[in-house]
Amino acid sequence: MNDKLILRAAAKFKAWMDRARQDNKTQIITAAKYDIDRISVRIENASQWMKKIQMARIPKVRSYSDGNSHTGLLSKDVYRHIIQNTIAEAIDSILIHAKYASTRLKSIDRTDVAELTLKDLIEEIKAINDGWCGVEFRDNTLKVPINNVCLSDTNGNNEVSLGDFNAELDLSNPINGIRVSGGNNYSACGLSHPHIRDEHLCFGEGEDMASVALCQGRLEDYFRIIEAIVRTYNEGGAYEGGELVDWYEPDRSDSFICANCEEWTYNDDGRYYECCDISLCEACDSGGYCNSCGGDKCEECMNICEACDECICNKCSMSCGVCCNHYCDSCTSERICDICQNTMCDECAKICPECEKEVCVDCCGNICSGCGHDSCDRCCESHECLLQES
Amino acid sequence: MIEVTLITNEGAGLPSRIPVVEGTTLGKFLEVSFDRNLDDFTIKVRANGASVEVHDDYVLQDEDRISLAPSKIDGN
Repeated sequence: MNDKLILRAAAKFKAWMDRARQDNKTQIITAAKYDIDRISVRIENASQWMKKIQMARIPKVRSYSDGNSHTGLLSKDVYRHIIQNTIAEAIDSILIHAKYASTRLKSIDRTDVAELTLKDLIEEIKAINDGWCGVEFRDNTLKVPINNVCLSDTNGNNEVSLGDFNAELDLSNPINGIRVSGGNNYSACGLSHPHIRDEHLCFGEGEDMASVALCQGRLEDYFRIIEAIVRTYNEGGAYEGGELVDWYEPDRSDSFICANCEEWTYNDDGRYYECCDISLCEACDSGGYCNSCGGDKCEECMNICEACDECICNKCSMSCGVCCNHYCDSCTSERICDICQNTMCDECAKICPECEKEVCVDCCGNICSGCGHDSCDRCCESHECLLQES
Repeated sequence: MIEVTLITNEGAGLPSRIPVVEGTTLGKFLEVSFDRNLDDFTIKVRANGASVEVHDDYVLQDEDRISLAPSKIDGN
């Protein structure tokens, strides 16, 4: 970062400090109000979805004019998605915003902003620029790289490398927090760091010292505190507890990756299909049991007999080459068209009146416009009327 | 006597102005003023607004600012 950018960054932060001395408390209250408003919206959303779920448990019956009726119930997948995703996410969001609001309101009396000169703040930005490699100032945001983050378990036995992170502080409004992004080693639940979610760093024990450093204009200290938090693993305070190695490199010996959704699933919660050598989780499992051979078959290998509606696998069924329907052995016999050599079902087979060979309907649909005689493709070529015409 | 500023980033985190005998080294100063294991802290010293290389034998100057930040902080 050159001197011009250092000056700009310092001036931007000074402008905030000058303003914050006047309306620091107002800002904190506004920010907390925003969080509380978000909580209200999310509670309302979750409540509405809960009502919908309750309503959906009552079967909807639709009657038709022909006397038939259809009973509709919410599918298991939709039900599961609403419960596990939509409502669960709303509740997570409520908890996060409640934490933000609480933190902000608690800080209201300890964030008196100091009065520093521009020279003091240039000194701070210069110290940051000298103390970290690749510091940038763009769009009012000071970006400080925190590279090669490795976390150790409490006992120090195991170490997990999480990659490089960036701490980005909006100097025009730093009180609203700092964004920390990056990392290239994701946990099973998709987090790049045990103390970061949605680019929000949970300060924990560093909360007070960071806010005091910020309000006193000690930006270098502020970023040292951020870095110390990012480089520390607190098992008890992480978004997901447990040993760090379990978190990032869990034992998968009793799990498999679903061939459809590619999510890790416990062996007991899924099914293996020998037919295609794949395993599917409960949500993606749409295979079935073949009524003919008794084997478990995946969806790709499973068919429904067109005649008797029984589930049958590919091996136990006959696929008609003409109508593409599937039949079990007891509902049709496999026939071969004498002309095109396609397999055909009973419905698609026909005896040519001329040569009396068994052919498929596609090869036997020629009705002479002269005499109305019906014949197969082969007989049609030698039919008398046609020969006369030619 | 000279005066230095010590910031420990603990508690209220307010800087303390501490009088020091001229010629005191950083190592000696911290041994007396900061009763903690220094291996657990990142130490930064600024003299006349510029960062200086930190080592135990550094002789403190008037108006130096010594800042200590824990190298490990438990997040939540």
